[in-house]
Amino acid sequence: MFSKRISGSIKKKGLLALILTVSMLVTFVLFYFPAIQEKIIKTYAEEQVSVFGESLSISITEAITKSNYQLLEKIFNRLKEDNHVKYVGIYDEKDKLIVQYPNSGIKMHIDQQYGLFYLKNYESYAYKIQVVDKDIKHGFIYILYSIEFYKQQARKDLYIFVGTAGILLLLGGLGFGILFGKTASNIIKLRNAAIIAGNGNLEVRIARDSNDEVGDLTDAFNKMMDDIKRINNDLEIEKKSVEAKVVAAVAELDNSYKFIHYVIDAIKIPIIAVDNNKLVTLYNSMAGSYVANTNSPGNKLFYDLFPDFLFVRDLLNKSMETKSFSNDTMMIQKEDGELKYFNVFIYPFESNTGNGAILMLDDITEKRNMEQLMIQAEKMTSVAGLAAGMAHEINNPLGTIVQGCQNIIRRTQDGLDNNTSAAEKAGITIEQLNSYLQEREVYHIVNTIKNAATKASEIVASMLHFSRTTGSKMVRYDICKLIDETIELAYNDYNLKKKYDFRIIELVRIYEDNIPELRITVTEIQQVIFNILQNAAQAMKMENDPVKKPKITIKVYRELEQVKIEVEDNGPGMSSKIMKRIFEPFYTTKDIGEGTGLGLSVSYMIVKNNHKGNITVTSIIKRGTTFTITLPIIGVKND
Amino acid sequence: MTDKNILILEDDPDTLFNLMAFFSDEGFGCQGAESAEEALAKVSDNKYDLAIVDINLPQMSGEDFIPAAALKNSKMKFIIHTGTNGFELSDALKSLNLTGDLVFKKPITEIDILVNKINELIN
Repeated sequence: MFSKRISGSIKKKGLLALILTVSMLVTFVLFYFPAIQEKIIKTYAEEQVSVFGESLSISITEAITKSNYQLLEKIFNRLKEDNHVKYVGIYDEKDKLIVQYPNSGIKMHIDQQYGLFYLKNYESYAYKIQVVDKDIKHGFIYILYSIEFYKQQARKDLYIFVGTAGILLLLGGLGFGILFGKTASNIIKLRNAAIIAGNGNLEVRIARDSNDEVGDLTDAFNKMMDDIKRINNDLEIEKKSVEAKVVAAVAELDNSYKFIHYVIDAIKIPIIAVDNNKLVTLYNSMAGSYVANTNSPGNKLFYDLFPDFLFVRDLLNKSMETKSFSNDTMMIQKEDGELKYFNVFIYPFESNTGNGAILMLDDITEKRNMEQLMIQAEKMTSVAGLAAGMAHEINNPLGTIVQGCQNIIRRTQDGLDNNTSAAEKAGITIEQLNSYLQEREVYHIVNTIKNAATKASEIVASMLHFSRTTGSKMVRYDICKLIDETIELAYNDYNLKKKYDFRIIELVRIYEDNIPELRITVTEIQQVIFNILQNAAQAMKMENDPVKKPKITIKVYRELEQVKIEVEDNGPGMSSKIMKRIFEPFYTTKDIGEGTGLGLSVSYMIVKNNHKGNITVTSIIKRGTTFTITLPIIGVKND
Repeated sequence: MTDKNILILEDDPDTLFNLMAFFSDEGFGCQGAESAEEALAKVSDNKYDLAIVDINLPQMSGEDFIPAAALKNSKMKFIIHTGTNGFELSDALKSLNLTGDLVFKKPITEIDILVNKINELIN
């Protein structure tokens, strides 16, 4: 809109100025010129009338005084030839018309003074002249001299002038169109080019087609544009090179940043950087798992972001104050009673952007537990080494104890003829004997002996597993087949069958197709699966929920280079506190005599240590527990 | 009462005593031996339906006794009763049709299983 208003306005203005000038000129001529003209005409006419009148009056006076009527007629005839003369009358002293021209019979009433007057109505001059000869008044002559002819002439002049002015105006307009119009177009062209250039098009140039200042301006514009373009190109090249450098630098910075992140994320130890105000400036993905869900997302205060690490406060303060490296193994007890061990490293640093510290908080709980387990295992291995040799010697007396207990019970109860006859011999009845033994809880005592012997034999068996692991043979084996075999074993296991109703448990097997054979120690993995099945059965029996239908789901599936075995029950589940301790050696939730507390820790040893796999547990109270055994496929291929 | 005879080879006298007491009560004709040599001599003299054999013995082992006894009495059945954890059957024993379910580890806490197995074998 702006450009539209601008466009053509210069042309319009030029034309308007021209019209205005010509109009003023015409107006001036139309209004002022006729007035002057009239004045000139009148002056001229007055002079003509005076001269004419004077000569006429002389001639007439002469004709009258000499009564030369021939002359008078001659004068009057001559008057006819003069267009200006409208009327000439000769009157005597008593205003009586003597003769007049034209001889129309109209008598003019003349009441004016002698002399020259202008009669507007007639557009004529009236001239009253006294005819005097030798002081004798003969009368007067009255002349009407028209200036209409002059006026007509003047009007004709005016028309010519106006016509000429109109033609001039047209010619002027044309000239303007040719001269100024072109200049204006050139200026507009320049202006448009400037706008285009202003919008960023530096290619715009204007062809010079006039030799005036606008032409110079055009040249200057073109040169300016060339300069701008050249400078712009230079700038563009410079800019591109700078940009490329910046992009490269940013990419390098980005890569470095990413690399640093890859590196610190690759370190599976929580790493946190804090500044002098204990605001977190950086942390790796391991540390990310400790970030608390704070309500204020902007809060980056170390202890708010990582409340779990509040225990390092004193060490961090000391380390930052003294600007010295610190390392300590710290133990914390969580709310649920679980003990956690952290190996804490604090590296204070000074930099241009401020001081701070790098914290590394290595959760060594599992490592420590594993170490404990290994120490335990080592202890047990040494015991087991002994036990392996002595197992037979230990089992023999245990067998005697168990069998002895069984015999005591059988020989004090009804049902055997020998018992009856022996009682008769002693003068008592079996019933009396039974009653006595019940009363004194002897059966219970015998059972405790039997249970103790049973448990001792189980401990021996478990310890022997520790000793056997080193010498055990690893073979390729179909894990699904092994699970089926173990389930079969569990079905036939007396304890599972009798105590834990294993047969009423619904067993669902979901085996993925094409599970590769694994390199395992068959008896060990079987023991692990058996332990887990036994645990599940025990847990479900303990829950004793009449509504719930006990169910164990076993899933086998491949995940990358691993095979996962999931054993899921719908039993009572367990608290996280228990869950965290179930792999600890000698940890048991079962009644005394029910378990050794070694089953799952042995399983843990077998899977983690002997098979380089993993065993984890998840549990939801009243919903059930899932054990997941992960075994690597690696090593099988090269077998 | 049954007319079946079993031989119990067990070097520990206390264990032997208790086992004999138990199987006598079960109605079997029972004889015991504290060494393989003694037991082997008894196999020659008597006709046993079944032998309960301990493996770890002072001189001749149970593992050697079984093939020797089987030579003397091919109809005789064997139950292995050992204190050795994770005892595995040798090929020689396997060739005599001995299987894992015939191996009982000391101490036998659920003796009913053993009784059932014996009845299954000799009846």
